[in-house]
Amino acid sequence: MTKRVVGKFGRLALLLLPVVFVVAGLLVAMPWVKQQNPAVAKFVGEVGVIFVACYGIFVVLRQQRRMDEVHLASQGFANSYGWLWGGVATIFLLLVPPVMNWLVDLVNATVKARGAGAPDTTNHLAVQLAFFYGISLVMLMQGLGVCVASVVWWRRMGGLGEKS
Amino acid sequence: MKNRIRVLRAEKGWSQAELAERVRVSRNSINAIENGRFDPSLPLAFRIADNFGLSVEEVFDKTDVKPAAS
Repeated sequence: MTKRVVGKFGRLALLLLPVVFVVAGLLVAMPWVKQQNPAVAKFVGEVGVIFVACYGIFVVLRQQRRMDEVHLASQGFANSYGWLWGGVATIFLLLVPPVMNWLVDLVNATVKARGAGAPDTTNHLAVQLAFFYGISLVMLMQGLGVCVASVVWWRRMGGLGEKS
Repeated sequence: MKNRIRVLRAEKGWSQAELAERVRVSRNSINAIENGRFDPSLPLAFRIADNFGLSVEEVFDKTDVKPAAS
């Protein structure tokens, strides 16, 4: 059983290895990319993002092929409720003043750190960052929502079964 | 849907994991079906019944299956 668990995680790690290589490669090449033409830097960044997104879809489809019908039903439940719960949780979270203030401060601090304009004026980078952090928060909350919904499903199904 | 999987498993001396391997699903899926929390598809029900050498009706109890609305 231990061997099987290691095999399962090992396979997943192998599957995720190309993404790790690409992200690490991009990070290592960042100083060189910054010295290039802005169009080249933009192109390299976009290629990296497209690769990671496409490879993510490939990994999900590959993992889905290995699922049995109970797991597929679990995934359906977790997706349909988790995304909704995550979205609603984000709205409630943004209604809490400290959270909204923290996000605004984060955008301002990043803009200031990059030397792109005064922190109290709106500029292109600030809007981009606000979108980026906002979408990241929604994705994070929806990811958490999917995890919670998955736990709820398996509890309803009577747990994970007897230990083997 | 009620079923006799737990009893039949005990008779054969199989663990949930062993039955799961035989019918090519995960152990927690067998647990969900065995507890009557998840109704398996027809192909999976046949696979389970085949492994016990029984018919589907002998493994799964259809008394609590709701009739189709007329």
